[in-house]
Amino acid sequence: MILTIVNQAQDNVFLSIENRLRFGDFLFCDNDYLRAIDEYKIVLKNKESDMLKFKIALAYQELKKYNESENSFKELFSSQQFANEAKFEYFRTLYLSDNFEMMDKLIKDDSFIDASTSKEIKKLYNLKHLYSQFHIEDSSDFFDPFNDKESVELLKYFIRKQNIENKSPAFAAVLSAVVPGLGKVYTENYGDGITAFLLTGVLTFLAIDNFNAEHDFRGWLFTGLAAYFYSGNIYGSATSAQLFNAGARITFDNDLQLFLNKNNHFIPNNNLFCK
Amino acid sequence: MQVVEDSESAFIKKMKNTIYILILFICQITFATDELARQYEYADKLFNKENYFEAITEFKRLSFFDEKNVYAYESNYKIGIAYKYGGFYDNAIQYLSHSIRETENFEKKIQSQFQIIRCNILRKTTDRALQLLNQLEEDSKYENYKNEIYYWKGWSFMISDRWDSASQSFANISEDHELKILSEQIYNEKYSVTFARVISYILPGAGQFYTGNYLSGFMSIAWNVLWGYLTINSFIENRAFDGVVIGSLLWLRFYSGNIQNAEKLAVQKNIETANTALLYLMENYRGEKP
Repeated sequence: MILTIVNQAQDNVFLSIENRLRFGDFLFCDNDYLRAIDEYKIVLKNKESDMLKFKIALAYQELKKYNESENSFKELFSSQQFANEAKFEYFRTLYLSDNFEMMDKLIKDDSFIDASTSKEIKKLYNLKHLYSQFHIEDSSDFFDPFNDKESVELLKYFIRKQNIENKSPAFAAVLSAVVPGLGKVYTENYGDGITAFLLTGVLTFLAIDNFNAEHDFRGWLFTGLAAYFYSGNIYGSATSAQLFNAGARITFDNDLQLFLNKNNHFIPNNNLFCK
Repeated sequence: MQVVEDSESAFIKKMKNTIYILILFICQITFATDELARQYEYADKLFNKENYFEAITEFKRLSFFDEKNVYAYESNYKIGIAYKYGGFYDNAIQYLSHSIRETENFEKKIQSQFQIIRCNILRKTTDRALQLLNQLEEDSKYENYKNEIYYWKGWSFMISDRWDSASQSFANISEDHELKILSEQIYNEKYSVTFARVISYILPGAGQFYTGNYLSGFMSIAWNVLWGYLTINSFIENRAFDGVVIGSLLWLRFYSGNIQNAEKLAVQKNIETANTALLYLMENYRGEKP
């Protein structure tokens, strides 16, 4: 027995497989995922464990190393213990890494979705469609996976998405062609609109006034300048409409992101490993 | 007689067992303590070799297995310092704060407190650093640490670009303190943004001359003279409309542009001066840095 203790002491007991596992679990729950992965990987060299592989994949997900996380979850698709959890977390990784193409493919694959996680998977899939770049085809289906309380909270963003203000660049250009600066006013750039109107107006007046006074050179000079400002304003109004639309979409997406993060994307927080 | 012998041998057996158990127990305790000491030594070696990532892992391992918190202060303090060197100031402050809770030793507590202040200076939360320093300054327990408090206050002011306050703080340590002289010099070298703006109101281009941008100043005065002359001339020749258009669209534009430009140049020059000073401190200053 004494010899065993002496041997243990020489081997550094803190680095035994059992202790590495305990220390790795501590690091994992302390959110030090990088170091937890290192400990788990050493344990895995000596002992096969799907749970450790699953935790490594989760740690990569937390570290936003989505490629490594996806690959690690994929390895567990055939696991007896963690197949369903791995598939769900794989789908969540796709959702977090904005891999919409793959999400679309998997949602249609019945063999991928298990009944126990289908609701959560559909939630994530529908939430992704709430972002401004996507179109929700069937609004009645959208709220299906959510309970009443969640639906009420989501409704605000659903309505906001339907009403994201969209200014037509072509219409803004036409307005500015008819009345210089009106296109800018339409895109809510009031200051620019008034300045464009005054500047084009003054330059046009100066051109006419100089032609009337038979100052032909000055007349043509101001005509050129007026034409330049007039056409520039038409182009500027179309661009201003595009910028307005981009701004509205970015604001909506940022607000939505904050809201979803705050609500953990409406996925119950089942902390399997840390109390 | 036989009964006495039997009871004696039973007693000896019992004693032997007790001694074995005692030896085992002592061995276990000694090896466990030894193990912690060895782990500390190993982590410390990594720390001294500046292998901070590994050092943090090993100190955390030590902390985890050190159930009696024998090395709690040392591990937390060194994890904090390792995070600081790695640039993870939030984590550094978190572990240094743990270390304060793990010791009753006043010197050790102060050591951690100053490190937290230095982390705040490094992560540019200088207001927080100053708040902590003010708290220490007001506390009579820190009477013997006044110089250190003034020193880090000075650094906080330098990092937050308040060179006059930095100079005053270093002067509290010594009138000829190297950093006091430097802060004073930087403060004197800096341009007054308000003065640059005001003189540009009075004479266009003067603000640019003040900040040493002679070409810009000359261009500014030339444009203002030209458009001013054309505006006034238009009014003299009874071309009121030309006068209004040139005056409002050109002269006014160049006049206000000159003021903005003077202000911008003064700010830019001040940033350059401060950056040069901080670079000098980083590369050449031999004293203690945050």
